[in-house]
Amino acid sequence: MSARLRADTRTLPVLALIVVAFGVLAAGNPTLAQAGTYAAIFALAAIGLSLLMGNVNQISLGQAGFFGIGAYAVAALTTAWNLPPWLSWPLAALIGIVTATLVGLGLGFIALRFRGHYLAMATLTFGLICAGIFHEAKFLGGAIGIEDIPYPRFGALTISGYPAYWFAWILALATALLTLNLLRGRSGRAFEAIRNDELAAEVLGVPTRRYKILGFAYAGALAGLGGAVYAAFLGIVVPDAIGVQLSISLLLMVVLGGSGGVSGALIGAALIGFLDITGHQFENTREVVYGLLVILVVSAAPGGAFGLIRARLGAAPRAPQPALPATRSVTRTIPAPAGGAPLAVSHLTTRFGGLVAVNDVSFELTRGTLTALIGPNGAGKTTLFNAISGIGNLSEGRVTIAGIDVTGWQPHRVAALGVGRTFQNARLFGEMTVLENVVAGAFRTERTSFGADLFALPSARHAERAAGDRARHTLARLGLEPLASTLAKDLAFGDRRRVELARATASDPWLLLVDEPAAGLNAGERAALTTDLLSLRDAGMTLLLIEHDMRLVMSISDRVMVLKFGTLIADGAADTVRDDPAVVAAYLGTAN
Amino acid sequence: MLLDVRELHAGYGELEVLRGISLHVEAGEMVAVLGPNGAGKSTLLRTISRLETNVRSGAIVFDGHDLLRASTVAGVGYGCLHVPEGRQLFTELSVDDNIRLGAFSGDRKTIDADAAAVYERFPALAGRKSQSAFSLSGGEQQMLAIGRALMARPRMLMLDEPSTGLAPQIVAAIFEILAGLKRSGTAVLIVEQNAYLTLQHADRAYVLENGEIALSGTAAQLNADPRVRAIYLGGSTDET
Repeated sequence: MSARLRADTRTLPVLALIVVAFGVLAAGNPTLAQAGTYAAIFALAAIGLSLLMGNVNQISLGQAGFFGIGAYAVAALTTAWNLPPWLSWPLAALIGIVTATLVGLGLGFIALRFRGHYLAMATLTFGLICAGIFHEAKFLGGAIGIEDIPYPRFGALTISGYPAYWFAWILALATALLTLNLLRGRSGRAFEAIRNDELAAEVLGVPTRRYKILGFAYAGALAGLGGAVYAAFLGIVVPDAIGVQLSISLLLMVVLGGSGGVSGALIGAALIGFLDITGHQFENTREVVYGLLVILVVSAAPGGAFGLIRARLGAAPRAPQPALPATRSVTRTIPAPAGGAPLAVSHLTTRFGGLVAVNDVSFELTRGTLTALIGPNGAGKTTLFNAISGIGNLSEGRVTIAGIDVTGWQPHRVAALGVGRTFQNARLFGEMTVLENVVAGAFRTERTSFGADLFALPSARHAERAAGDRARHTLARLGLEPLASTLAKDLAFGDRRRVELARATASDPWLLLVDEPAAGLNAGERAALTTDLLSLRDAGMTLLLIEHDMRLVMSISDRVMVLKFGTLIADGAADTVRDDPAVVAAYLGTAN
Repeated sequence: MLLDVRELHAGYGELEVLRGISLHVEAGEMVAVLGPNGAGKSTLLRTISRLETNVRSGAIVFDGHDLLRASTVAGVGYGCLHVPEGRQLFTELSVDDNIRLGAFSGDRKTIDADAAAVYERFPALAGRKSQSAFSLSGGEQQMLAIGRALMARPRMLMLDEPSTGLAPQIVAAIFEILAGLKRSGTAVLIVEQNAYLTLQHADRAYVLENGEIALSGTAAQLNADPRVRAIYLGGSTDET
């Protein structure tokens, strides 16, 4: 569990106590109780948006659309139905939430095409379209909206006024708890990896597109739930209250409170919910104050209110990790599935516009060997790696892994076959510790589901433990345990390379693509790297290595392939390749 | 001595790329820096230009000026010009705009005269003044990058792999241009992949390996030295 999540988990009970204390205080004060209820309603939507922004690194300026879907579902259905009150609201709310989730899936799918400003605009447009529909649709009451929405009633208890405070907060706190479960689980680890580096997450087997869509759907569902409670509490839904302004308000809560996790969202929602009610008479001044607050927070405390609290909390005490025997030489390797060479590339060509980066390259690797792919700068080595691991499109040809044609597959599917890869510039997850990085590397070995995560079922806990054990074993194997709790961004350069190798091998791949692992390493680190690579090969792994350090390449490779201007010009044993006139010319040029 | 680099230790952040480099360039001399990928060649040029690298220790003196105390722009003012890898043109601007943006002086007449001189040196560019730099061929783009640098009236031109991605006859033309510059008194410090071709044109060369100078000497000496090849392709460098 990351430090951020630990702080969140520790803060939630405190916030729950404040909610109870406030509820007791507000017992005789309808204005206070109302402000508190609003805060809870907004908190529901804000938690979803906080997860989307702070954990999945996406933005939405259209959350009011989902809020409206929940609110209008309750308004329209409960006024039209003639069901018993205990059934009417829950059923209508459920329909609203399911609809909001489905619309969220759709928006998430569309959002995959956009980044940054364009994503903000796309989601803003979504919010505007929803606002337009709410305003114009006759069956939703047009500009007037829907009145006389019945209060939910459970037996003698009517959810309005003071009881609504408790009702809304029980929902909000339960939602916060479930969201924390989700973030603690495999889904949360996937989100965290995506937030740090999408491409690196993808090659570890994280289906990043699916998780981004999931983030939108989850945020949509929670906004829908907020809307459903809102409609029941207020008894009236008017389109003007569910416009772009509400989307901005929700964004404001998340920014003020601090995005990511639940505590920031709760704090932000409480702040704005409270200011909204108490500052009602200062309608115009309020906007100015909000604006100034945002500028202040963004410039002085980008982590929001919860960011400040977290800084005060400092490093939370950690549970002691069980010590593992040092098993440096032991490597468990999943055998490659039977059927064909571990990797076969046939007639692969990649073009960028008119430039042919990889030109009709064909080769097959033999199981349990280490093959080096060398060539001058710009020869197309990394492009070839990318084509194999599913990054970018290849223009022609086929890539077959263990007999399975993976041409055109997304990187996470290739990774899931048991293919690891490292990057030229060691794309570690900077904000995560070394251990968390390596746990993320074990992602594809975890067997758990979204639902198991959400309700913290034993299977989710078991998966978390298994991934942690696996990661610690991997660290032990490479002698990296002393660095386990160091943030990746604070690592020395040579250690970054070794941690990346640990992350790439945490899931015990049987095929490993290593891109320039020795770049920037000193002599001692190179020697350690050589040992590590050879021990992986000796354990049965098939390695393909891009490397510029020729001494290293020539000393450890079973086979050397040379690429020049995208074309394979030599392929064979190290000694033969080194004396090949074409290779000499590729590296040193010719006099004319 | 025009450029004097002494015991230079430099790199990026914690990473030390250059581990004690000493080299010099005389006025009007063409000096090559060779070596395999990752040896630190580009980092050396970037450090002399004061671009993004951290200097731990050492000295860089250009024409009597301490470049370690100077900004990139001040270095340009002293006449130390860098034509970076990948040319770094303003691709959306016209050829003429690119050339004129290279001028260091603000005087219109000087700029016009210097631009005319550049076009004389590069007739291929003269016919394409109003075309966008993006539309040029690779060789023309490299010429434009050199022409732009010449606008600042350099005393020394540093080129980072000018031959990358160019056809052999274009590469020959580029080296022809560099020879012309040298004749007119501009020193050239060139980083190149193509070692043997560069050694045909350079006066002297240094061969870098892992951030250190492994070999140095006149071009003729290095051309005949088998250790150059061993540094690029692995193998023993003991044979002398």
